[in-house]
Amino acid sequence: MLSLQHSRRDFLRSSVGLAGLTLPTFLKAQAVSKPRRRKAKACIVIYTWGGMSHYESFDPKPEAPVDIRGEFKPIKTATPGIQFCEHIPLLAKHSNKLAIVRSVHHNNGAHSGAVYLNMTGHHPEGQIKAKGRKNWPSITSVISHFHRPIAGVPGAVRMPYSMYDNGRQMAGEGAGWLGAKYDPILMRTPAGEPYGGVSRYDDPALNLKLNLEKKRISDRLTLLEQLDQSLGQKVGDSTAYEKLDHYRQMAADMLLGSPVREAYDLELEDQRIRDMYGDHIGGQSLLLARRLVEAGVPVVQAVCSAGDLAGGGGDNWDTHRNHFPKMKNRLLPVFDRAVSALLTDLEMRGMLDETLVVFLTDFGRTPKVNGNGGRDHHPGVYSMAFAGGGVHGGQVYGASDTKGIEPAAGACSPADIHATVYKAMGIDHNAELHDQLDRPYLICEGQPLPIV
Amino acid sequence: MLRLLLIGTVLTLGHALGHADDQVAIDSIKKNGGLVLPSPGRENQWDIQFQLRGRDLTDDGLADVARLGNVVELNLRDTKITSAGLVHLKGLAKLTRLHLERTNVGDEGIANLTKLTTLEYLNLYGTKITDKSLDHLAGLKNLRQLYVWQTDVTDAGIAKFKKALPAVSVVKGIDLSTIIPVAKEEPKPENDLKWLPEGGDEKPPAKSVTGEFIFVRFINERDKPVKLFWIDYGGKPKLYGVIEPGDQRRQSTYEGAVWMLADERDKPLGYFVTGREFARAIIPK
Repeated sequence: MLSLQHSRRDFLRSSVGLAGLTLPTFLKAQAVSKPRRRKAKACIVIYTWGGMSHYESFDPKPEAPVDIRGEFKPIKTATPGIQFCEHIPLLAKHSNKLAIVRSVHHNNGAHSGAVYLNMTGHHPEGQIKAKGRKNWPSITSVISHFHRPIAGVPGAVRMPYSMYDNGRQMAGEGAGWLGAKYDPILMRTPAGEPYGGVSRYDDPALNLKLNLEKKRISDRLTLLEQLDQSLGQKVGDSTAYEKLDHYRQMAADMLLGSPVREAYDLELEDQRIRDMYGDHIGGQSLLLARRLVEAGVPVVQAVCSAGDLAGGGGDNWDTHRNHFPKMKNRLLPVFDRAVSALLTDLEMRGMLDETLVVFLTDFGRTPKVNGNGGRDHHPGVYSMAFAGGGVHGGQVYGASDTKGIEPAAGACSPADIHATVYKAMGIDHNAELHDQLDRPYLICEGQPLPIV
Repeated sequence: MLRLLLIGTVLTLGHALGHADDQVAIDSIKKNGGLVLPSPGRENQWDIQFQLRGRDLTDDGLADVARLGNVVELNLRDTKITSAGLVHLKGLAKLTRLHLERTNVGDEGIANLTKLTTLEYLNLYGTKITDKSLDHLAGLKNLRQLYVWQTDVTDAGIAKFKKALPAVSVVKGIDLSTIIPVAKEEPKPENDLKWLPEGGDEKPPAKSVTGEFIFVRFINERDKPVKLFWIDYGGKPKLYGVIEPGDQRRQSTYEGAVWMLADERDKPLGYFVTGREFARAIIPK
């Protein structure tokens, strides 16, 4: 699993050079490089695209002046001493499963940089491009590198679309220098009312509902031809198509009877379970995430908002205008119901214990409500959360100050969040990975938070 | 000395034989679609999974698992095993996690698990078990998690079980009949957008501006099809579709958007400018 280079390096580090080498340190060095015991076998990343307000979710500030605390009230959760915003009442009942982090911060106030940072755990250097092979790999790509699925099952899936800011696709969702093999497969969620706003499909999105009748899939070759036809219309020229070879093979495998195909068919799910998640693309995406994990996909990412910020007009978390009505009416109800359903569902199926759920976002929102009734970008401090996968629920790590402006305790970075995820997934956060030219990279510069 | 050597040889031989035997069992498990994974952080211990590719596993196939012995995790979810097969699990002295969910296992099968005191996690959701199974499990002192959703286990049964093993978290799940679907509220059209005919006195803005997300319902009252164009942020028309006579089209858009309707030859007929609310846009005869 881990590279030889890595174990040798650790070995040298822990023995303080060869002079200090004794048998016990040698054995210890060996032990360090072994795969770690872990509870989490799969990971679901929930990304609230646009930057979710910490005030109106996991870190309400009822004591702050009225122009900061906003219109909403806090409510009690199932955990004494922890309060959430009043518009996530269902999630408040799951606080015993959640480890809330209220002290994440960084210094990147632009969506492009903030997405990249939160998805890869690394600061962007220079111009970053959505499909750049110099980018750091996303957390999903790294997890899929260490947790290999069975044949025909993708290593990582993301849905229901890519993140865009005014038509520009964001960097950080792909595998970067790890190579196309580790690019998460983009999958269309096959059901649910879409978020209002623009959602683009410039990437080929896998839609297993393609008009392929089973009897027509007589062999793999015919299937690939049919895929070519249906995808070719969207992708265009054939040279672009060659690059999709890995993707095509994967798609063919899935259509030819991998457990993923069955998982994709949400019609097979109990209608009452579907209702529990909500007839919304947000809810149905998380339902699909659970089904994909059951089918053996190691890591799934769901973007919970419209795919393009398009000036903040649509249903996304970039609430520069009309923040309060939009949060109350459009965003929080879907988030609350869908995420609560996921936690309930994973728990009663006995999956929560083995599935790490991670909530990521760009940044928080500004303390002062602006002239348009909105809150602007605020990377100075924001909240995120973990559930399942061996994480101890019912706790808050860190704190923001009384006005929610900056960390007051336990200040941590997106890289620390990533290190925590890796630890829960049994991945050494100091592991080295190699790019296509075999250059070594330390996957993470953060330190795990003491919550796993 | 000779004696020592002999013992050594026998031990090595026994060890090698043990491994060879393991290999036969592993091969057979794999043939049945099972995955045999080394348990992370544990030497020579196995995590065996049948739930992905090995769902056709029947009771006989479990004999291979028994032969392997050093199994710490076993996942039999969605397989065809029954109570009768669980006799093979009796000797798995290192088993910590056992998945039997969504199988036909019942109380008489669970009776085989009474001695598996290393068990920490036991998943029985969607099986045929009743409170009787909980009695069989009451001696598993290391058990911490037990899943009994969608079984005939009762609250009273759980209460009794918790008296014997208070440290166990028993997850009974929710009653699906209590789920209430979200009532869909289709926003009602409250007003009609003003029709600005081509060449009329009131001119539409030259291009769209961006604003809040809304819906507009276009209704074609003409007796001919109309083409629907969005005038983009640069003032260029972009075709969105054709609305047949008498038809409607629910269109997502933003406030401050300019929509142009044209005949089949792209000759402009008129315009609508969207407002902040959901609205109807009636294309007149």
